[in-house]
This record gives sequence, C-alpha cells and structure tokens, in this order.
Amino acid sequence: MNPELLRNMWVELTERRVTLMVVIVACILLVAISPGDWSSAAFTAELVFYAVVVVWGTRCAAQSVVEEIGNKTWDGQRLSAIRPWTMVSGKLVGSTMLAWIGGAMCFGVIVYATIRAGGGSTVVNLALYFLTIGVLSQAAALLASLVAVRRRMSHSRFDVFLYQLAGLIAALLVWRVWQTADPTSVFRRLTGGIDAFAVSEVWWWGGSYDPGTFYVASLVAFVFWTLLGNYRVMRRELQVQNGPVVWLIFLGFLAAYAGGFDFWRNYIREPTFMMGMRAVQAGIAVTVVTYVMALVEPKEVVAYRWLIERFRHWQFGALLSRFPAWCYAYLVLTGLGVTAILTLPWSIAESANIYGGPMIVLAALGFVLRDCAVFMAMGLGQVGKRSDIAALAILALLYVFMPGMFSHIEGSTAFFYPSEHDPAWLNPLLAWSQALIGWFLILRRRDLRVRPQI
Amino acid sequence: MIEVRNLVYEYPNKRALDGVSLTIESGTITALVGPNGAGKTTLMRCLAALEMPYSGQVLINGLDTRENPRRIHENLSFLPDFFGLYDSLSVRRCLTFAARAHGLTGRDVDVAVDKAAERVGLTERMKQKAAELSRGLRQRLAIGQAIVHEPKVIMLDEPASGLDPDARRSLSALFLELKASGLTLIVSSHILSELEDYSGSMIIIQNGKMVGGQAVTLTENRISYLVELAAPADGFEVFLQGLPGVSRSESLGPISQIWLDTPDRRAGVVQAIVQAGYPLCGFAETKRTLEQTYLEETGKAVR
Repeated sequence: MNPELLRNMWVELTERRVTLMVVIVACILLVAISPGDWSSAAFTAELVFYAVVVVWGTRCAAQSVVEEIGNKTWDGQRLSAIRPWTMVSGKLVGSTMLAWIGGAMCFGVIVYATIRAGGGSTVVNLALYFLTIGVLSQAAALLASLVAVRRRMSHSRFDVFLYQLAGLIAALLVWRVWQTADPTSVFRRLTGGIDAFAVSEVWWWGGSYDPGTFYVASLVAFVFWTLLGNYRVMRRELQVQNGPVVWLIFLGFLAAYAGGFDFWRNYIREPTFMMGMRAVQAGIAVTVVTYVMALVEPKEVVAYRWLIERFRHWQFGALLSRFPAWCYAYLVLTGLGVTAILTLPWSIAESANIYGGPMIVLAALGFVLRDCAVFMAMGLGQVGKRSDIAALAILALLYVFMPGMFSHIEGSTAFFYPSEHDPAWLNPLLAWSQALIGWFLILRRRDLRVRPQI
Repeated sequence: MIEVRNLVYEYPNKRALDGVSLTIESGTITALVGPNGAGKTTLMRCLAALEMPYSGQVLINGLDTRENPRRIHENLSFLPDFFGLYDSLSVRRCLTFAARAHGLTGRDVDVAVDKAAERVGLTERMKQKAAELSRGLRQRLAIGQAIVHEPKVIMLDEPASGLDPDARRSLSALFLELKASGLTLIVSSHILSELEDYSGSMIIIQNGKMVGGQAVTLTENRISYLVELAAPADGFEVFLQGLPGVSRSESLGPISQIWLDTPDRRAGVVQAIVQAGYPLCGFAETKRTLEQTYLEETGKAVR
C-alpha cells in the first residue's frame, strides 16, 4: 500500500472523526429527505457535497504539504524512496479521504433523486462531474500549495487560504460552465430560469457536441493535466529535473482546445481567416498561462544567473532543460501570434483605413513580454507575496489607472495596451520599445551578471 | 564512498560553498565542524541531494546527486538539527511509516521496526504517541526513523543537542555500532567533545571552504606519551628518537612527549629508559583533543 496514503489514513480516519462526519452529514441529509421532496433533497445534498468535498476538501489538500513543512517533517519525506506520483496520490487521496466519505453520502442522495426523476441516463455524466469537480478543485489547491513550497513562501493560515482559493476558483469555473448545460441547474433556480450563457450544443473543431458530454470530457482532460502538473512540481520538489517536453505538449493541448471553439462559425467561412481566429483564441489561452507562470514560478537570482551563464557558454542543451515554463509559454505564444499575423485578413482593418488586426496581435506580443519583465523585475530575488502584489499593482496601473489618467490625450492608450490606432504601427512600436527597455534593464542587474564571493 | 568535487553553492548575494572537494570512505564516522554560518548545513543538504549545487559534483556510492537524487535518497538518511515527528502517531507507526517510505514491505517492515526500536532503546514505548515522548526520546525516535531502513550513509546535524549525558553516551555507542555494521556517518556538531568518542576524521568548514583541503584523520598521532625525568638530562631527546618504535619526540626541560608506532611499545620504551640510567619518574598517556586539533588546523589556516 502507498505509505503516504497509509500514514494519512492513520491520521485522518480515526474512529472519532469518521463517526462525526457520518453523523453530521447523515443528520443534514435526513432533515432534507424527511419532507419527501427528493428534488429539494438533491439540491441540499449538492450543496453539502460542495461544502464538504470542495470547500473543506481543498483546505485539506492545500494543507497536506504545508503542514509537513510546518511540522518539519517534509525533508524526511523528500528523503524517502516514495516516488513523486505515489507522494501526490497519497497526499491528495489521503488528506481528503474524510471529505470524500461525506461526499459519497451526498452523492448517493443525488443519484437516487435523479433516478426517481427519470434522469437515469444522465447518472454516469453526473457521477463523472461530481468526481471530477472534487478531484480538480483539490488537485488545484494542492498544486497551488506545491508551487508556493517551491517558491519558499511562508505558510500562514492566510497563505493556506490562498492555495485553497485556487481550488475554489477552479471549482467555481467548472460549476458555472456545467450550469450552462443543465436546464434544471442551481444557477437557473437562483436566477429564475435565466442563463445568458446557456447552451444546447457545443461547436468545436467543426463538430457539434452535447454540452454535458463535452464538459465531462473536458473536465476529465483538465483533471488529467492538473494531476500531471502536481506530479511534475512534486518531481521538482523531490529534486528530479523536469524536461520541457511535457510542458510543451500541455501548451499544445491547451492551444488546440481553446482554438477549437467555433464561436464565429456563422460569420466566418474563409479557411485562412478561420485559422487566424483559432490562433487568436489559442493565443489568448496561452497568454493566460504565460501570465500565471510568470507570476507563480520561482524567480531565483541564482537560477537565472545559471541560465545566463549557460547562454554565454553556448550550452543550449542545459539552458533549455531548465528554461522557465513562462519562457516556453511565451515562445508558443509567439508562434501562435505569428500564425495569427500571417493569416488574419488585413482587409477588415483596411476598410477603416488602419491595419488593426495583425498589428494588434503584434502589439499584444510586445505587451505580454513587457508584463513578464514587470513580474521579473518585481520578483527577482524576492520571496513571498509582496513581490506578486507589487507586480500586479504595476499592471493595474498600466492597464487601468494610467489609461484613465491620460484619456484626454488622443491615442495615449497605444502606450499601455493593445488597441487600434492610426498609424497602426504606433501600438506595436510602443509595446516592443517598453518590452525591450524593460528586459535590457533587468539583464543589466549586477546580481545576474556577477557571481558573488564568499 | 562519498566524493565531492569542486562543489559550489550560491545564494543570491553570497557563495555558501566555494570549491569544496572531499572524499569520505565507507564505514567511517566523520565529524563536520566549523563556526556558525560556515556552510556545514548547506554542505550536508547538498550531500543529501536536498539542494542542487551551482556547480561541481557530489557522488554518493558512485551515484551523482544531480542524475539520481531519488536513488540516493533511498540509501541515505539525513537528520536535521530541527526535525519533526508525526506527533499523533505511535512510536511503532512512526517507525513503520519510515520503513515503508523507504521501500520496505511485508514482514521486512516489522523486523526492521523492531530492530530499529531496539537499537535506539524504544522497545518498551512502541505504543506511546510521539507527542508524549521527552526531548531525548524524541531524538532517539528520529534517529530510529533514520536508521530503520539501514541506509548506507547517515548524516546528522547536531544530533546530541538537548540530550542529557547518559543519552549522549548511548548515542555515541549507537554511532560506533552503526559504524561497525558498515554504515558511513557524517556528524555535524558545535560541541567538539561530543564528537571525540566516535569520529575517525574531521572536516573543518570555514567561510565555505574546507580548511587544509582535506579531512583530518583523528586517529593518527592522536595518542602520545609524556615521559618525565626527575631532572633534565643532556641528549635525552636524541636517545628517545633512537629507540625502536618511537616515531616522533619533542622535549621541553625534563618533560618529553613521544609518539609510538603502536601502544605495545610502551613497556619496551620504559625499560630502555630505565636501563640507560635516566631518572625516570613519570610515564603517562596523553590524548590530543578534537578541540586542540580543530584549533591547530584553523590556526594554520589563519596563518
């Protein structure tokens, strides 16, 4: 048996804790069931499921590694023979086992109510949804905590809440998307049956799919990638080097997934234009990943100094093996950007006498690189949340406050974010100038160029 | 065997280890000493493959820490100075987890757990929770966890801090027992007298560098003999140097210090001195302490 799972069972599944969980959940469900309205009972069971598996489960998952650090047992685990995947699964399943016991009781009520209401055919999708939303949220919380561990951040209760928040946000997104496919959803009950994003079919890569099935398949894929993310960060924590291949495959998957949605199928028929639109969609998804990675990846001066030294010595194999994930994401983004520039029609913009589309993409690439420079400038050599907050504050300044302050100057937005201007080259020129100046200043830092002495 | 080649470890504004190279033979106990902030703990963490060096190479039994960190972790234990235990688990469960976490399965787990408990003297407390143990017993449990899978290398950072004299003595005995069973131990401590009883060699780290460029063998020239004459005698030092079995001698007035090839030579030396008519009035064994050796070596480095 997985030793980490066994240890968690010893700690989590004490007689007292299991009894408490079973009694509390059973009492709530019995109260819900007693009036005989199974629809309401299922609603209550769903809420209890979210409370126990998602809210409390993410807390447990976020704490699983952080607690080890607080108790000074983490180095002992790192020095064991436990394999990275065994460690991840042991922690994820082990720390949330009690929550799943409560969740299973709720799920039983939900399934029974669904079958009674004649929805037997949807039970498999429902089971996959509840399983995946639980696993995804908990895995996301664990991943956030592992990333924080890699960044050597502090682990106060508030920090654990932030890691938990990552899981909660993931769950909220999944829940909201799921609601768009369900006519009897909690969301529609709360809004009197109105859902502006409700869909009856999903168009993806030219095909039409049932939303429930499509969402479940997507969820399964994202659960897989989140678990793989946990595995990869755990490998690093256990001192095993990760190559870039898996990360690049993930970026490829994300680009293909996001680029596949045919939102514009009724308006665009021209294949090259379609490719451009897909590249833009994929680019937006990869941009999000680039920002997230630039924010959360450790920005250790020593690691970057090492990379610069490898570059100076033309040791590209070593350089690429430890290249930061955000750099790879940016390279993929550049590829997508170039594709968009080459395939998006200039004619649309020409009608307005400006070269908008492709130029905006070119500018966007520059602004993303500038923003990465902001993350780097604020984060290099810093540990903790302050550098993140400082970077985000600067971005808020650049994207919200300063454009507002200079709104009276015509064309001033060209300095701050991608937007249409006349002449069209102004926006990319300003974006790339800022990016290059930012990176020039960062690379001039003494601690990146000169190795310290004793 | 542990081999370190030109190890460099850097912090953003400080180089913690600067070109450390050393070799530690299997089945030995090596003391790792040096002032606070010298780089001892960083060195140990690099040896344990918990930190990756900026450059250089660490080989543990032929495995590179960069290439095979997990295989090294399997066969190595590192007990940091501030360690933690699973307080809500019993001693048996703590040891069982440690054994399983190092790949032991089935009946081997119980055998290993019982053996480790016996070695650290916790057999009577197997059902007690870790939280209920005293400081000394917690230390023993931590050491028990570190040796339960019988690693080839054990590194301990300040293992005796907070222990009473009896516990320290039994810890020394345990280390010697582990060494006798073929394990390699590296022990870091500020308390040099504590290392005296079991260390065979000493590595001194100062300002991130290894003092003297190599480990100091402590058994060599460690024991010497003081020869006291009732009055100073001309040519006595030359006489001593000519005696069979005397490898070195130093004289100051009526007192001389001699180093012998083996302790068996003592009777012969005393007999020779008396037969030669020197007024011998004292012959005693003297041990050079680890502290003296440390000060001598670091003094050399300063000079």
